[in-house]
Amino acid sequence: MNYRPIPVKTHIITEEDDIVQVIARYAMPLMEKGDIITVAETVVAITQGRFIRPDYVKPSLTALLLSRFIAQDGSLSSPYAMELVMREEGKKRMVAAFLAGSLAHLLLRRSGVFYRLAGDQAALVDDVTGTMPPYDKYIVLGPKHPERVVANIKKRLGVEAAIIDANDLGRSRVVAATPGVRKDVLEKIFARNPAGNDNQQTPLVILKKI
Amino acid sequence: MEEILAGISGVVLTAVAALGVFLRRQGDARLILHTNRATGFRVDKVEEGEGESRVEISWRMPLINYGRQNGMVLEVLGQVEYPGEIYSRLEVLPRFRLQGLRRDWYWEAVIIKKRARHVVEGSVVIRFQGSLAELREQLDRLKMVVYYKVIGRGKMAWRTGDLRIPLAIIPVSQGEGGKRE
Repeated sequence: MNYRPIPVKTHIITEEDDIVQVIARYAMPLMEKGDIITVAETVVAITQGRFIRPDYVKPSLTALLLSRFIAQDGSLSSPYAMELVMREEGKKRMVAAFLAGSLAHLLLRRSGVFYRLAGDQAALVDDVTGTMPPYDKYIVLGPKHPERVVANIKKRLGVEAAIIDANDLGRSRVVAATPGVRKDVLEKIFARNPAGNDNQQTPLVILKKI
Repeated sequence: MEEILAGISGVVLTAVAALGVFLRRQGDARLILHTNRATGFRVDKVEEGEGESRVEISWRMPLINYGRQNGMVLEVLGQVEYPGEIYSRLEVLPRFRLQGLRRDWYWEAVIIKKRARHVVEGSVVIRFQGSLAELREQLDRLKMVVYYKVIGRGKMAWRTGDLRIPLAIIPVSQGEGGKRE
């Protein structure tokens, strides 16, 4: 099954937008039967109001310490992002994931264990500078209940949908998708990040069946 | 029992000491916006109308991360120091941007890599209820405090720097006024 990705430009999405209405307005006129609509996970989170300035976060001693052990290309190297994820996923879980991840790294030379154990929010959070303006000064968490979001898109608009976490580093992940979507195909397409990672303002990508 | 307690205390103390050494060796970002090394002051735009004048002045200043970790600059803001009674007829709009990052004057939060050197462009729009000649006569320079918000590995902090914008560089027209760029 082959698809051609078509990035769709929108206005600046805020917490006052309904993601289904955004898709209906910008993407639906361009879609045909068999196409899939994909949405950037950050944008779904923004419509859910899941962003906060670090000024309003007081990092705990645990967050200050754990963040020191995360490489700086990861959002959790910020004590503020670490604190927010701790509140979402639980402090005990994060500490346990950190200890298990450290042991796996030291003894087995395996990386990524911490992120697998720490929960979805640990992998999805975007630190300050991780999102295009006007959210460049905010920490943006991952979306809440992404499965419900895609199910709602399909119910209201009748199209297959997926929420994607992609970046310019060649990593992509399907956060949630309706049952008619093949996740492996999407992850391959989005490894090239067709929506772009800078200021393209294309949070929607239509996958045209070819 | 005492031996066990002594053993536990020893392990804890060693762990704390090792953590201290790790944190010290890791270091942090150390971001400095050198407002005192501002150069290249120039007048970009001058407008003189009836009873009101407007001038835009720009300059550059180095932003350096002297630290061993990457850091971020979230905001750069300017606040004029009170210049006296003339302030009631003066309106000042300071603007900053990282050179090469944006074409508009929105300060976008940016990562500054360890040991990296960048240039921050500054600009100020001055509106004055009076002539430019009068402004120059009453104020030879505008003092401004530049506030910039930084984050590294530790807690976020506001830093400040002092800036002096020379107003003597403003050209004063001999005629009835107008617009010059």
